[in-house]
Amino acid sequence: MRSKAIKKLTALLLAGTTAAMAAGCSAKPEDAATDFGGNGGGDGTVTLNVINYHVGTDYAADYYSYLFDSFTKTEEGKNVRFNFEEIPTTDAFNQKIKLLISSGTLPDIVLNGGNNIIEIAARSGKVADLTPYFDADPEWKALFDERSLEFNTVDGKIYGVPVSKEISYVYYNKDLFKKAGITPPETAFETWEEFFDACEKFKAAGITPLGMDTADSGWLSNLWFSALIATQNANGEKWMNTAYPTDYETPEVIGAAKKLQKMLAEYTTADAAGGKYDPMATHFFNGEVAMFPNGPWMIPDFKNTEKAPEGFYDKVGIMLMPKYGMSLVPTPGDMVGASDPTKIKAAVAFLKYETTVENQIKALEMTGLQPVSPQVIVPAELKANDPLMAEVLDIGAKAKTTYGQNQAYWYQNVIDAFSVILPDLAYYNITPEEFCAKLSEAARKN
Amino acid sequence: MIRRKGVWITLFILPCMVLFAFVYAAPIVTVAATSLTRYTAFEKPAFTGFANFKTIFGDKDFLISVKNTVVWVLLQTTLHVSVGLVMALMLHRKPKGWKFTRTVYLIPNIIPTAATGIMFTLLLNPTFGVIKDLFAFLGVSGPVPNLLGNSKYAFWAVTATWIFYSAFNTVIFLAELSAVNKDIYEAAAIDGATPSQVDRHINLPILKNAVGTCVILASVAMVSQFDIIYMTTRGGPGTSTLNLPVYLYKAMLLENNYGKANAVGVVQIILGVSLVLAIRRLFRSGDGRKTALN
Repeated sequence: MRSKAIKKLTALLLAGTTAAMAAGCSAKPEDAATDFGGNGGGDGTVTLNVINYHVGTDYAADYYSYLFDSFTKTEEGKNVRFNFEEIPTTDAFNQKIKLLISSGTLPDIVLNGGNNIIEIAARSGKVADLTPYFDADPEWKALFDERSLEFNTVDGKIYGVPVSKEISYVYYNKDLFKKAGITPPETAFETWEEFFDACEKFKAAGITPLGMDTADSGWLSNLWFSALIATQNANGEKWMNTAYPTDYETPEVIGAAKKLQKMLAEYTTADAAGGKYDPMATHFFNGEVAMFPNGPWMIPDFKNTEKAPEGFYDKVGIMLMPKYGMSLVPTPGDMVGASDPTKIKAAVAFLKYETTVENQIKALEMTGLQPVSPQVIVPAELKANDPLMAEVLDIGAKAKTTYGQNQAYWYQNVIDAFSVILPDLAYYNITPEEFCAKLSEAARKN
Repeated sequence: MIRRKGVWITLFILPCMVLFAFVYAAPIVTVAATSLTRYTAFEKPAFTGFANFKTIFGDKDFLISVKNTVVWVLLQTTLHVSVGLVMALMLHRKPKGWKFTRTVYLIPNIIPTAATGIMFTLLLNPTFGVIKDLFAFLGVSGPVPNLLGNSKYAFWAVTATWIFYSAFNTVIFLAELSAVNKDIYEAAAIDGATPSQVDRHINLPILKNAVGTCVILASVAMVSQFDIIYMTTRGGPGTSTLNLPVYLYKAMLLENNYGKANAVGVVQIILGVSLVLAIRRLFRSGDGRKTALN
């Protein structure tokens, strides 16, 4: 009797389960039309999930807002809709993307957050191989130089679409140079000795010579450090153009660390050790430091009266790093996290739109992002409206040494180690040799 | 009747147990299992035995993170709880303005810790922070120390961002004290007991279990302390403020080594459980009375 009852109950449960499964199967096509995470919609629309960090006060917020919006008005994008998740700051964005790589739930378009995660993403198998799309559109592929594509290639397959080139040099405050009685060099200090002499003169005039930081990635300090390494000799230049270095105890790196220690201890603000980028930028905007290394994306800030005083733009000059050094790296590109062919196609269409010559010029105009394509000719009107940007475009050609920088070339944990060990270097708690040994130690953990 | 009561108890406990199984037990088992594997952002877990544990115990940064975590646990369970206790004993006497003081003292505890972290980085900034004005006011000459940026001071500067704000403990102690029969205090007053004698002979013995509870909460909080350290120093300068959660975070997100990170997680869990058991033992009532701790 009891056995019969159990059998009836089991049969009922099985029937129920089968019905539920059938309902689930039959529900799929209807759901797909509105399901953001599903395939292409039944009405012909495709919804792409995007995590966007270009929001709020981000330097490129307006540009990306324009880009996403204008894409949906094009022939290729008229059936594409975007489902945004907003994450302010690249730091939080990069962390989130890494977690999503491991969980396999990447957004359909993976914007690059500055950190080089192309290899991790490619090896995880969670991003699409874009090689066939490049091969199918030679005109699009021809927009990029070989180095930029190579930078986004893993095991012979292209996974990232580079959207800009990253360059950095030195901004200086003309008024402070005048006050210290120093004539700014036309293009760059000829030697590091000349540069340090100028720093001494600034100090004597009561002016802090350099903008530096250590927190987050120690961005500013690393720009100085990279230049110190690369401009020493051919070995230094080669080292600074090597991806994922593991030996930081070379004569060039140790030599650069010695100079960096001096710079942190003697020529920068008291809050540089442990300090983040933003307060250091404020020091420069407020006319409290004479020289500040950074990229062209900072130029719009000079005109932004919420960040800098009125008229600050006119006080700023541009020079290369001493010995005519300039950081010049292809950027890690935007990737496609979608796995559905329809979505991949739509995502690639967006990336093609993002890298059109017109949009590269638009990006330059609105954000200072340097065009990735050698084919881009910057309009004279843009140069006339933004003399500093024009100067940037011209000065690049005068660089005698070009090199990479840490966010693109170093292991993530080494960037972090650099950031947390740097204050100890600044306060002479460790020697430059120990500093470099600790970086090597961190690199070996990978 | 007893059997029916047992069924009801089981029914009420069941949802909690199911939730525990999914939210805590399953992840703990996963963490323990994957700690024995080579598991990275782009590799599926592959069994490697105790290799991750060998790696972390051979890393001096890990040992420093354990040491810092233990020091913070000791400070939190002694100094932090004591501050809350002293505050509670003072407020229990209901001096003038005690309600206002109680409310004000609670404010730092209701500010999100991430915001507190940012606030302290600004307050302690040697070029424009309040500390610069404070040094000027006190007439201290020379450069203002970079409290969060120099490893000589960073550990204590970070500790100071939370150690004195013990209002949650104060609230627990005050709740316990408010339940004491007033007759006891009246009898003590008739016998001529001074306020400090009342504290020593009545309040402190009564608060023994509450102290035990607060010590457990404080120690567990310190074993998992992360956000304020991340916001202020990220474990630096050097390794001066590196603790277990920050070390785990770096292993996971910067080295992409999930197996290693989970091995750290296992150590963290073992440390937390050991602390809870040790504290329970320490505070076990000498008279055999069953308490919340035993």
